Amino acid sequence: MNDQPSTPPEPLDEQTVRTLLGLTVGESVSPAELLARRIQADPDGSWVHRALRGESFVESGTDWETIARGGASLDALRALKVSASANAPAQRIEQSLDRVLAYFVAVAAASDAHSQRITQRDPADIAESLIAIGSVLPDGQLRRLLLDGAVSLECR
Amino acid sequence: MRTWLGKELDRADGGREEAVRHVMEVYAGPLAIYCRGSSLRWIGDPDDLVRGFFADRLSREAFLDRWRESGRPLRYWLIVGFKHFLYEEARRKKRDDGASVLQPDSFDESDETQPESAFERACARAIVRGALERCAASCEKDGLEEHFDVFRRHYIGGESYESIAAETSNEPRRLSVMSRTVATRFKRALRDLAGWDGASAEQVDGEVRQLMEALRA
Repeated sequence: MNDQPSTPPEPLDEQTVRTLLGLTVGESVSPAELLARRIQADPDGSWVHRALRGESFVESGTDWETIARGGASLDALRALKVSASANAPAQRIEQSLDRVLAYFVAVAAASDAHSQRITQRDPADIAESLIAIGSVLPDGQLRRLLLDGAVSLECR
Repeated sequence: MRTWLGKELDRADGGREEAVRHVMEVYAGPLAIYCRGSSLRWIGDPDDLVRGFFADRLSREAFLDRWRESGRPLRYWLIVGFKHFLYEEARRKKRDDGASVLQPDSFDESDETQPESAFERACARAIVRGALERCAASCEKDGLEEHFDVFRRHYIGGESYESIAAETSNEPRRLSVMSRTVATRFKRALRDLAGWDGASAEQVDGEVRQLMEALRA
Protein backbone atom coordinates (compact mmCIF):
# COMPACT_ATOMS: atom_id res chain seq x y z
CA MET A 1 0.00 0.00 0.00
CA ASN A 2 2.92 2.32 -0.39
CA ASP A 3 1.92 2.88 -3.95
CA GLN A 4 1.20 6.44 -4.85
CA PRO A 5 -2.19 7.03 -6.42
CA SER A 6 -2.02 6.92 -10.21
CA THR A 7 -4.60 8.31 -12.63
CA PRO A 8 -7.59 9.51 -10.63
CA PRO A 9 -10.71 7.51 -11.52
CA GLU A 10 -13.63 9.31 -13.12
CA PRO A 11 -16.41 10.86 -11.01
CA LEU A 12 -18.34 8.25 -9.08
CA ASP A 13 -22.11 8.41 -8.70
CA GLU A 14 -23.68 7.11 -5.50
CA GLN A 15 -25.00 3.94 -7.13
CA THR A 16 -21.47 3.05 -8.29
CA VAL A 17 -20.04 3.79 -4.85
CA ARG A 18 -22.66 1.49 -3.30
CA THR A 19 -21.87 -1.23 -5.86
CA LEU A 20 -18.15 -0.97 -5.16
CA LEU A 21 -18.70 -1.03 -1.40
CA GLY A 22 -20.91 -4.07 -1.86
CA LEU A 23 -17.99 -5.90 -3.48
CA THR A 24 -16.01 -5.63 -0.27
CA VAL A 25 -18.45 -6.95 2.33
CA GLY A 26 -17.76 -10.38 3.75
CA GLU A 27 -14.22 -11.50 4.26
CA SER A 28 -13.49 -15.08 3.32
CA VAL A 29 -11.33 -17.18 5.62
CA SER A 30 -10.83 -19.91 3.04
CA PRO A 31 -7.39 -21.52 2.69
CA ALA A 32 -6.95 -19.53 -0.54
CA GLU A 33 -7.64 -16.26 1.30
CA LEU A 34 -5.25 -17.21 4.12
CA LEU A 35 -2.66 -18.02 1.48
CA ALA A 36 -3.25 -14.68 -0.26
CA ARG A 37 -2.71 -12.86 3.04
CA ARG A 38 0.50 -14.80 3.65
CA ILE A 39 1.77 -13.88 0.19
CA GLN A 40 0.95 -10.23 0.76
CA ALA A 41 2.85 -10.21 4.03
CA ASP A 42 6.07 -10.64 1.98
CA PRO A 43 5.70 -8.26 -0.95
CA ASP A 44 9.17 -9.10 -2.25
CA GLY A 45 8.02 -12.64 -2.95
CA SER A 46 10.51 -14.33 -0.65
CA TRP A 47 7.89 -16.53 1.01
CA VAL A 48 6.37 -17.60 -2.33
CA HIS A 49 9.73 -18.57 -3.73
CA ARG A 50 10.49 -20.67 -0.66
CA ALA A 51 7.04 -22.27 -0.87
CA LEU A 52 7.59 -23.14 -4.53
CA ARG A 53 10.52 -25.25 -3.41
CA GLY A 54 8.57 -26.75 -0.54
CA GLU A 55 7.92 -30.38 0.39
CA SER A 56 5.06 -30.98 -2.05
CA PHE A 57 7.16 -30.03 -5.06
CA VAL A 58 10.12 -32.02 -3.76
CA GLU A 59 7.99 -35.10 -2.95
CA SER A 60 6.29 -35.09 -6.34
CA GLY A 61 9.54 -34.51 -8.21
CA THR A 62 8.14 -31.59 -10.22
CA ASP A 63 9.57 -28.10 -10.23
CA TRP A 64 7.33 -25.11 -10.59
CA GLU A 65 9.29 -23.61 -13.51
CA THR A 66 8.48 -26.67 -15.62
CA ILE A 67 4.84 -26.37 -14.59
CA ALA A 68 4.74 -22.66 -15.43
CA ARG A 69 6.15 -23.42 -18.91
CA GLY A 70 3.36 -25.93 -19.45
CA GLY A 71 5.89 -28.77 -19.50
CA ALA A 72 4.56 -30.89 -16.63
CA SER A 73 2.61 -34.04 -17.51
CA LEU A 74 -0.87 -34.60 -16.18
CA ASP A 75 0.42 -37.46 -14.02
CA ALA A 76 3.05 -35.19 -12.52
CA LEU A 77 0.38 -32.60 -11.70
CA ARG A 78 -1.84 -35.26 -10.13
CA ALA A 79 1.13 -36.40 -8.03
CA LEU A 80 1.73 -32.81 -6.93
CA LYS A 81 -1.91 -32.41 -5.96
CA VAL A 82 -1.86 -35.66 -3.96
CA SER A 83 1.32 -34.62 -2.19
CA ALA A 84 -0.11 -31.18 -1.44
CA SER A 85 -3.34 -32.68 -0.08
CA ALA A 86 -1.51 -34.93 2.36
CA ASN A 87 -1.51 -32.62 5.36
CA ALA A 88 0.55 -33.62 8.35
CA PRO A 89 -1.79 -34.71 11.16
CA ALA A 90 -2.90 -31.92 13.49
CA GLN A 91 -1.17 -29.35 11.35
CA ARG A 92 -3.00 -26.05 11.24
CA ILE A 93 -3.80 -24.62 7.82
CA GLU A 94 -1.60 -21.58 8.58
CA GLN A 95 1.37 -23.92 8.93
CA SER A 96 0.78 -25.67 5.62
CA LEU A 97 0.10 -22.78 3.26
CA ASP A 98 2.97 -23.92 1.04
CA ARG A 99 0.92 -27.06 0.40
CA VAL A 100 -2.16 -24.95 -0.37
CA LEU A 101 -0.10 -23.09 -2.97
CA ALA A 102 1.14 -26.37 -4.48
CA TYR A 103 -2.44 -27.67 -4.62
CA PHE A 104 -3.73 -24.67 -6.54
CA VAL A 105 -0.69 -24.57 -8.85
CA ALA A 106 -1.37 -28.23 -9.76
CA VAL A 107 -5.08 -27.65 -10.34
CA ALA A 108 -4.50 -24.49 -12.39
CA ALA A 109 -1.83 -26.12 -14.57
CA ALA A 110 -3.94 -29.22 -15.21
CA SER A 111 -6.81 -27.02 -16.31
CA ASP A 112 -4.75 -24.59 -18.36
CA ALA A 113 -2.20 -26.89 -20.03
CA HIS A 114 -4.22 -30.14 -20.23
CA SER A 115 -7.83 -28.94 -20.13
CA GLN A 116 -8.41 -31.40 -17.30
CA ARG A 117 -10.09 -31.01 -13.95
CA ILE A 118 -8.12 -32.94 -11.35
CA THR A 119 -10.35 -32.04 -8.42
CA GLN A 120 -13.96 -32.86 -7.63
CA ARG A 121 -14.47 -29.46 -6.05
CA ASP A 122 -16.85 -26.96 -7.61
CA PRO A 123 -15.03 -25.31 -10.57
CA ALA A 124 -16.50 -21.91 -9.71
CA ASP A 125 -15.09 -22.13 -6.16
CA ILE A 126 -11.73 -23.25 -7.47
CA ALA A 127 -11.71 -20.40 -10.00
CA GLU A 128 -12.46 -17.88 -7.22
CA SER A 129 -9.59 -19.31 -5.17
CA LEU A 130 -7.23 -19.09 -8.15
CA ILE A 131 -8.24 -15.44 -8.64
CA ALA A 132 -7.77 -14.65 -4.94
CA ILE A 133 -4.26 -16.11 -5.00
CA GLY A 134 -3.35 -14.93 -8.50
CA SER A 135 -4.33 -11.36 -7.71
CA VAL A 136 -1.56 -11.04 -5.12
CA LEU A 137 1.24 -13.11 -6.60
CA PRO A 138 4.37 -11.05 -7.21
CA ASP A 139 5.64 -13.37 -9.96
CA GLY A 140 4.08 -12.58 -13.33
CA GLN A 141 4.57 -16.09 -14.75
CA LEU A 142 2.92 -17.80 -11.81
CA ARG A 143 0.16 -15.19 -11.71
CA ARG A 144 -0.62 -15.84 -15.37
CA LEU A 145 -0.72 -19.59 -14.73
CA LEU A 146 -3.28 -19.26 -11.93
CA LEU A 147 -5.44 -16.71 -13.73
CA ASP A 148 -5.34 -18.69 -16.99
CA GLY A 149 -6.28 -21.75 -14.95
CA ALA A 150 -9.29 -19.83 -13.61
CA VAL A 151 -10.34 -18.88 -17.15
CA SER A 152 -10.00 -22.50 -18.34
CA LEU A 153 -12.07 -23.77 -15.42
CA GLU A 154 -14.83 -21.30 -16.16
CA CYS A 155 -14.81 -22.16 -19.86
CA ARG A 156 -15.85 -25.75 -19.24
CA MET B 1 -6.39 -6.77 11.30
CA ARG B 2 -3.27 -4.69 10.82
CA THR B 3 -3.80 -1.74 8.50
CA TRP B 4 -1.50 0.14 6.18
CA LEU B 5 -2.10 3.28 8.26
CA GLY B 6 -1.12 1.48 11.46
CA LYS B 7 2.07 0.22 9.86
CA GLU B 8 2.91 3.71 8.59
CA LEU B 9 2.40 5.20 12.06
CA ASP B 10 4.87 2.64 13.41
CA ARG B 11 7.40 3.17 10.64
CA ALA B 12 10.31 5.31 11.81
CA ASP B 13 11.50 6.89 8.55
CA GLY B 14 8.72 9.22 7.51
CA GLY B 15 5.82 6.86 8.12
CA ARG B 16 3.94 9.26 10.36
CA GLU B 17 4.19 12.04 7.77
CA GLU B 18 2.86 9.66 5.12
CA ALA B 19 0.01 8.64 7.42
CA VAL B 20 -0.89 12.28 8.12
CA ARG B 21 -0.83 13.08 4.40
CA HIS B 22 -3.17 10.17 3.75
CA VAL B 23 -5.63 11.26 6.48
CA MET B 24 -5.73 14.79 5.07
CA GLU B 25 -6.16 13.59 1.48
CA VAL B 26 -9.08 11.31 2.26
CA TYR B 27 -10.91 13.27 4.96
CA ALA B 28 -10.43 16.98 4.15
CA GLY B 29 -13.35 16.96 1.72
CA PRO B 30 -15.82 15.14 3.99
CA LEU B 31 -14.98 17.36 6.99
CA ALA B 32 -15.46 20.52 4.90
CA ILE B 33 -18.84 19.18 3.77
CA TYR B 34 -19.81 18.64 7.41
CA CYS B 35 -18.73 22.16 8.26
CA ARG B 36 -20.77 23.70 5.44
CA GLY B 37 -23.95 22.17 6.83
CA SER B 38 -23.16 22.70 10.49
CA SER B 39 -24.76 25.34 12.74
CA LEU B 40 -21.20 26.47 13.46
CA ARG B 41 -20.49 27.37 9.84
CA TRP B 42 -20.50 31.07 10.82
CA ILE B 43 -17.05 30.61 12.37
CA GLY B 44 -15.22 30.80 9.09
CA ASP B 45 -14.42 29.29 5.73
CA PRO B 46 -14.89 25.48 5.93
CA ASP B 47 -11.68 24.67 4.06
CA ASP B 48 -9.70 27.00 6.35
CA LEU B 49 -11.27 25.42 9.42
CA VAL B 50 -10.41 21.91 8.20
CA ARG B 51 -6.85 23.03 7.54
CA GLY B 52 -6.72 24.54 11.02
CA PHE B 53 -8.08 21.36 12.55
CA PHE B 54 -5.49 19.22 10.80
CA ALA B 55 -2.68 21.62 11.68
CA ASP B 56 -3.71 21.60 15.33
CA ARG B 57 -4.62 17.96 15.93
CA LEU B 58 -2.42 16.04 13.49
CA SER B 59 0.67 17.88 14.71
CA ARG B 60 0.14 16.12 18.03
CA GLU B 61 1.33 12.52 17.83
CA ALA B 62 -1.14 11.57 20.54
CA PHE B 63 -4.15 12.35 18.33
CA LEU B 64 -3.66 9.41 15.96
CA ASP B 65 -2.16 7.23 18.69
CA ARG B 66 -5.30 7.68 20.76
CA TRP B 67 -7.39 6.84 17.71
CA ARG B 68 -5.54 3.53 17.39
CA GLU B 69 -6.24 2.79 21.05
CA SER B 70 -9.91 3.70 20.64
CA GLY B 71 -10.82 0.71 18.47
CA ARG B 72 -13.15 2.95 16.42
CA PRO B 73 -13.25 3.82 12.72
CA LEU B 74 -11.06 6.77 11.79
CA ARG B 75 -13.98 8.77 10.37
CA TYR B 76 -15.71 8.60 13.77
CA TRP B 77 -12.58 9.75 15.58
CA LEU B 78 -12.10 12.63 13.13
CA ILE B 79 -15.65 13.93 13.25
CA VAL B 80 -15.69 13.90 17.05
CA GLY B 81 -12.33 15.69 17.09
CA PHE B 82 -13.51 18.17 14.47
CA LYS B 83 -16.65 19.03 16.43
CA HIS B 84 -14.54 19.74 19.51
CA PHE B 85 -12.27 21.89 17.42
CA LEU B 86 -15.27 23.84 16.10
CA TYR B 87 -16.59 24.42 19.66
CA GLU B 88 -13.18 25.73 20.68
CA GLU B 89 -13.02 28.01 17.65
CA ALA B 90 -16.57 29.25 18.25
CA ARG B 91 -15.78 30.08 21.89
CA ARG B 92 -12.57 31.82 20.91
CA LYS B 93 -14.27 33.84 18.19
CA LYS B 94 -17.13 34.91 20.43
CA ARG B 95 -14.66 35.91 23.09
CA ASP B 96 -12.60 37.88 20.58
CA ASP B 97 -15.58 39.52 18.88
CA GLY B 98 -17.33 40.42 22.13
CA ALA B 99 -21.05 40.45 22.82
CA SER B 100 -21.84 42.81 19.95
CA VAL B 101 -21.69 40.01 17.39
CA LEU B 102 -24.93 38.07 17.20
CA GLN B 103 -24.10 34.42 17.00
CA PRO B 104 -25.74 31.21 18.21
CA ASP B 105 -25.28 30.91 21.98
CA SER B 106 -24.72 27.23 21.96
CA PHE B 107 -24.18 24.32 19.68
CA ASP B 108 -27.46 22.59 18.94
CA GLU B 109 -26.87 18.86 18.38
CA SER B 110 -30.36 18.45 16.88
CA ASP B 111 -29.26 20.59 13.92
CA GLU B 112 -26.38 18.28 13.17
CA THR B 113 -28.07 15.17 11.79
CA GLN B 114 -28.03 16.36 8.19
CA PRO B 115 -24.42 17.53 8.07
CA GLU B 116 -23.37 14.33 9.78
CA SER B 117 -25.18 12.26 7.15
CA ALA B 118 -23.55 14.38 4.45
CA PHE B 119 -20.18 13.75 6.12
CA GLU B 120 -20.76 9.98 6.13
CA ARG B 121 -21.80 9.98 2.47
CA ALA B 122 -18.71 11.99 1.59
CA CYS B 123 -16.57 9.54 3.60
CA ALA B 124 -18.03 6.62 1.63
CA ARG B 125 -17.13 8.33 -1.63
CA ALA B 126 -13.67 9.36 -0.41
CA ILE B 127 -12.81 5.90 0.90
CA VAL B 128 -13.97 4.22 -2.31
CA ARG B 129 -12.00 6.72 -4.38
CA GLY B 130 -8.91 6.23 -2.20
CA ALA B 131 -9.18 2.44 -2.56
CA LEU B 132 -9.60 2.78 -6.33
CA GLU B 133 -6.51 4.96 -6.57
CA ARG B 134 -4.45 2.52 -4.55
CA CYS B 135 -5.78 -0.41 -6.53
CA ALA B 136 -4.96 1.34 -9.83
CA ALA B 137 -1.44 2.09 -8.61
CA SER B 138 -0.81 -1.50 -7.51
CA CYS B 139 -2.14 -2.84 -10.84
CA GLU B 140 0.11 -0.44 -12.71
CA LYS B 141 3.08 -1.60 -10.65
CA ASP B 142 2.38 -5.25 -11.48
CA GLY B 143 1.63 -4.73 -15.17
CA LEU B 144 -2.10 -5.28 -14.72
CA GLU B 145 -3.26 -2.02 -16.33
CA GLU B 146 -5.41 -3.90 -18.82
CA HIS B 147 -7.05 -5.81 -15.97
CA PHE B 148 -7.78 -2.56 -14.16
CA ASP B 149 -9.25 -1.06 -17.31
CA VAL B 150 -11.65 -4.01 -17.67
CA PHE B 151 -12.62 -3.69 -13.98
CA ARG B 152 -13.19 0.06 -14.40
CA ARG B 153 -15.27 -0.33 -17.53
CA HIS B 154 -17.38 -3.10 -16.03
CA TYR B 155 -17.92 -1.96 -12.44
CA ILE B 156 -17.75 1.83 -12.88
CA GLY B 157 -18.73 2.26 -16.51
CA GLY B 158 -21.41 -0.44 -16.34
CA GLU B 159 -20.29 -2.11 -19.59
CA SER B 160 -20.97 -5.80 -20.06
CA TYR B 161 -18.07 -8.17 -20.64
CA GLU B 162 -19.60 -8.99 -24.03
CA SER B 163 -19.44 -5.39 -25.16
CA ILE B 164 -15.85 -4.99 -23.92
CA ALA B 165 -14.95 -8.27 -25.67
CA ALA B 166 -16.23 -6.87 -28.94
CA GLU B 167 -13.45 -4.26 -28.82
CA THR B 168 -10.67 -6.50 -27.57
CA SER B 169 -9.11 -9.85 -28.38
CA ASN B 170 -10.30 -11.36 -25.08
CA GLU B 171 -13.32 -13.56 -24.52
CA PRO B 172 -15.94 -12.45 -21.98
CA ARG B 173 -14.93 -15.23 -19.57
CA ARG B 174 -11.34 -14.08 -19.58
CA LEU B 175 -12.47 -10.49 -19.09
CA SER B 176 -14.54 -11.61 -16.12
CA VAL B 177 -11.49 -13.24 -14.52
CA MET B 178 -9.36 -10.16 -15.25
CA SER B 179 -11.96 -7.89 -13.68
CA ARG B 180 -12.44 -10.12 -10.63
CA THR B 181 -8.68 -10.22 -10.13
CA VAL B 182 -8.77 -6.46 -9.72
CA ALA B 183 -11.96 -6.64 -7.65
CA THR B 184 -10.06 -8.83 -5.20
CA ARG B 185 -7.31 -6.22 -4.96
CA PHE B 186 -9.86 -3.43 -4.61
CA LYS B 187 -11.61 -5.30 -1.83
CA ARG B 188 -8.38 -5.61 0.14
CA ALA B 189 -7.52 -1.94 -0.44
CA LEU B 190 -10.94 -0.76 0.67
CA ARG B 191 -11.13 -2.95 3.77
CA ASP B 192 -7.70 -1.67 4.71
CA LEU B 193 -8.81 1.96 4.38
CA ALA B 194 -12.12 1.44 6.16
CA GLY B 195 -10.66 -0.74 8.90
CA TRP B 196 -8.47 -0.07 11.90
CA ASP B 197 -5.80 -1.99 13.76
CA GLY B 198 -7.31 -4.74 15.84
CA ALA B 199 -10.67 -4.70 14.04
CA SER B 200 -12.25 -8.07 13.37
CA ALA B 201 -13.52 -9.02 9.91
CA GLU B 202 -17.08 -8.59 11.23
CA GLN B 203 -16.31 -5.09 12.51
CA VAL B 204 -14.92 -4.07 9.12
CA ASP B 205 -18.01 -5.57 7.47
CA GLY B 206 -20.12 -3.49 9.85
CA GLU B 207 -18.22 -0.34 8.93
CA VAL B 208 -18.58 -1.01 5.19
CA ARG B 209 -22.31 -1.67 5.65
CA GLN B 210 -22.65 1.60 7.56
CA LEU B 211 -21.00 3.46 4.69
CA MET B 212 -23.43 1.79 2.28
CA GLU B 213 -26.31 2.71 4.55
CA ALA B 214 -25.14 6.34 4.63
CA LEU B 215 -25.57 6.48 0.87
CA ARG B 216 -29.19 5.41 1.17
CA ALA B 217 -29.99 8.19 3.64
